Amino acid sequence: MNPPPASGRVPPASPRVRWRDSFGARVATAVLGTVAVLLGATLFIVRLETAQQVNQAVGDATDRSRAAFAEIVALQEERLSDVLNPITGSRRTVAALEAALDVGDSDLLRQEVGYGLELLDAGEIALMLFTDADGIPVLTEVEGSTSTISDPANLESMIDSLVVGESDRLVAFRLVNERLYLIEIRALLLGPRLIGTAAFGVRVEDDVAVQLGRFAGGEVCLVAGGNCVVRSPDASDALTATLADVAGTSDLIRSTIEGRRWAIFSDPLNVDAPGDEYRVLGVDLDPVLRPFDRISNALFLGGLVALILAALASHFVAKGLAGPVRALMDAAGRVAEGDYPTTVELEGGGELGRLATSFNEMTEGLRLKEQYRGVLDKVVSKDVAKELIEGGIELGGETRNIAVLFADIRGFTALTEGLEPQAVITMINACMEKMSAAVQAEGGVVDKYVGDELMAVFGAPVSRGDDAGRAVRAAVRIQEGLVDLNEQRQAEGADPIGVGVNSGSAVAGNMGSSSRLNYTVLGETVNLASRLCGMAPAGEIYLSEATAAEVNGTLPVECIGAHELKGFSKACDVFRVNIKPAVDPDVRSGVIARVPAEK
Amino acid sequence: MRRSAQRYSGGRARAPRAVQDLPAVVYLRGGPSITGASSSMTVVQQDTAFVPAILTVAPGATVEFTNADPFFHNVFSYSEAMRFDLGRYPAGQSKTVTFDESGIVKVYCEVHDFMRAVILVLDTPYHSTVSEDGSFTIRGVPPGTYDLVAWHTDLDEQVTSVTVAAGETATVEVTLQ
Repeated sequence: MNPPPASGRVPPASPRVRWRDSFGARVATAVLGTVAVLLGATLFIVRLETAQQVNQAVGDATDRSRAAFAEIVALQEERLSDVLNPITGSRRTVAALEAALDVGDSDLLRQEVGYGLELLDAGEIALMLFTDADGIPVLTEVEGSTSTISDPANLESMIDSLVVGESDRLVAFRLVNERLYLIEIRALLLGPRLIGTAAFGVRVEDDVAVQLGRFAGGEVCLVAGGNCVVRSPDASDALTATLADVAGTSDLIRSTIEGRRWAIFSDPLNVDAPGDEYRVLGVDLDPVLRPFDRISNALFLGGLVALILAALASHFVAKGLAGPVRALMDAAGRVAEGDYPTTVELEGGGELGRLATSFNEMTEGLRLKEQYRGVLDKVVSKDVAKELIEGGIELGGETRNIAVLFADIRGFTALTEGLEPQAVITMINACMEKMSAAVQAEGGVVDKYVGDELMAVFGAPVSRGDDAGRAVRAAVRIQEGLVDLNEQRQAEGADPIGVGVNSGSAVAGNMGSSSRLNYTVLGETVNLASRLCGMAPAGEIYLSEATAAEVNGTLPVECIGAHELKGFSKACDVFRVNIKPAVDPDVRSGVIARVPAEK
Repeated sequence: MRRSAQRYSGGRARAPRAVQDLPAVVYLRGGPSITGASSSMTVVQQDTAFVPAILTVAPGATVEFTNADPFFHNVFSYSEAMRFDLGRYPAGQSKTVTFDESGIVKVYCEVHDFMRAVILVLDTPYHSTVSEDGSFTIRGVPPGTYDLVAWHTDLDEQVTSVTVAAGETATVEVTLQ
C-alpha cells in the first residue's frame, strides 16, 4: 500500500485525455456549433428573403414593362389603324394601285396615298410600301423619300404571309434601313382578288424606351439585328451592350455592370410575326439589395463577434469544469492504485462539489474497509479472511480431508520462570513468527496460538492438494528454521521444539456464536496430531501412520513403533522424519545425532 | 370580325358585300377600226350596282352615268385610257363622260367599294359580251384571220388566232384563268 498522500489537488498522474474527447472540446463544439448553426440559418433566411425580394422586384418590373409595352403598342397600332383603315379601305387606293400595276407608274398611287395621309394629318407615317400581288414592291417611301430598303428580308416574311393568304393583316416591329419601325401590313383586295399589299410604319423612337423604363423601373433596350436600336439615353454604353448581348435568351440573367447589379430579361418584340427583335429590360437590383447587404454585413460582423465570444465563453466554462473533473479523475486513478485516503476538495457547492463530497465519502469507506481487512488478515489467516470477506464461510462445519500440524516449545513454563513478561512475549513472538512463516510458506493456515503451542491446518478452508506433504514440509521448515533456537535452547538446558503432524478427515468450520465465531478444525485427526506433538521429543517430527503413508517416498520416514496415546483406545504406529539438514551438514548431523531413536 | 370591319370601315358600318361580278368580253383585233363614234350610252347606278357592269363602246362615245338610287354615288376611274372623277352626286342626277381613247376603263364608286364597272373602249365593231352560259357570238365578221381577245377583269387576257371563212361560222373555245 502506498503511503497516504496529502489530501487535496494532486498533480495530474492519469494519462492525458485526447483533446477531441476532452470536456473543453465538447463544450467548444456545442457552443460554437450552436452559434455557427444559428448564424448559418440566419444568413440562409436572409439570402432566401433576398432572392424572394429580387424575384418579386424583377417579376413586378417585368409585368409592368410588359403591360406598359402592350399599352404603347396598342396605342401605336390604334393610330396605325386609324390611318390604314381609310387609306386601304378606300376604293381609290385599290384603283390607284391597280392603275399603277396596269401602266407601271406609281405617281398616281403616291399622290392618292399622300393626299389621304395629309387629310389624316398622319405625318408620323415614316414608312410606306406597296407591292403587287406577288410581293414585288411597287412604291417604297421611307422617311419621306422614295428609296430602296437595305434589308428587305425583314419585310419579306410579312409580305409573303399576306401573298400566300395566311393572313390579310399583320403588325410587327421590323428593322428597316437600320431603324426600328412598327409596321402594319394589309392585303389590298378587290373582291376575292389580291391586288397587292400596303404597309405603313411608324418610327420607334428612344422615348418608347424611356417610357417603358420609367414604367418598369429599369432600363429598356429594343434590340433588332443584334444591336440596341432603341434605348434610353440614360443607359450607359456598357449596360446597353450587355442588354444587346442578352437579347434572345429566355432566362433571367444577373449581371454586374460598372459596379451595379442588374437583372436582365429578354422578351420577343413580336408575337404575331416573330423575328430577330427583342425588348430587353434591365432592372437595377441595387436599391432592392442594399438593405439586405447591410443586414448581411451586420450579420457577418455580429456572427464573427458572437463566435469569438462563444469561443472565449466555452474556453472558460470548459476550464471551470475540466479542472475539477481532472482532479476527480486523478484521485480516482490513485484510489484504483490503492491509495484510499485520497480526497478531493472542490470549491463551490454545485454538482461537482457534491460529487467530490460523495467521492471523499467513498474513499473513506474504502479506506476503512481496507483497514478492517488488514486487521482481519492479522487475526485470522489470509485465506480465512478472504473467505470471510467474500461470505463463503458460514456458521457450521463441513467434513474435509486435512492435515494438522502442532508445534510446541518444550519446557516453556520453565523457560519463562524468572523472566519479565515482556521478555517472555518477545521470545515467544520471535519463535511464533518463524513458525508461522514456515506454515505460510507451505500454504498452511495458522489456526491458533495456545500458549507455547502453534496449531496449523492444511486443506481448510481451501485445499491446495498434497496437504499432508505440505504439512510435513512445513514441519521440516520449522525444525530447520529453528535449528539455531533449538541449539540455543538446548545449551540453556531447555527442551527445544517438538512437532506432530496428522492427516485425515476432520470437521472444519465456524465454531462459536453468530456474533463471535472462530474458524477451526475439530476431530480425532486433530487430537492425534496434538498427541503426536506432545510425544515428539525436541527437534523431532512425529507423524501418524496415515500421514507417513502419504509422504513416504518424498521424505525419509521411519516407524518408531506402536504407542499408546491418551484418548485413543488402540495403540498407534508412530513415525518420525529423518531430517537431512541442507544448510550446514555438520550442524545437521549433530542435531540428528542428538535425536534419540526411540522415546 | 376586326379584319372585315377594318377592310370595310371608314366610319360607315356596312355589311360585307361581294364585289360586283363582271362578265367576260371577246373582241377581234386586226380588223377594220372605227373612230369618231358619237353614240351615247347610259350606265345606271341602281340597287348599289352599275347596270350594265360591262359596256363596250367605240372611241368618242359618250356614257351617261345616272344615279337611280335614293342616296349618293360617286363614279371615278384611275385607268390610263380615261381618268375621271364625277364626284358625288345625289339621286336622279346624271353625269356624262366621253371616252376618246381606246382602252380599258375601270370604273368604281368611291362610296360603295363593291360597285364596279368596266367600259371597254374598242376601236373594233366585232365584239361580244360572254353570256352566263359562257357562249358568245360575233356576227358579220368579214372573212380573214384575226386575233380573238378574250378578256375578263380579274383574269389574264387570252389571245387566240381565228380564221373566218366567207359564209361560215368559226368556232373558238377559250379558257380564261
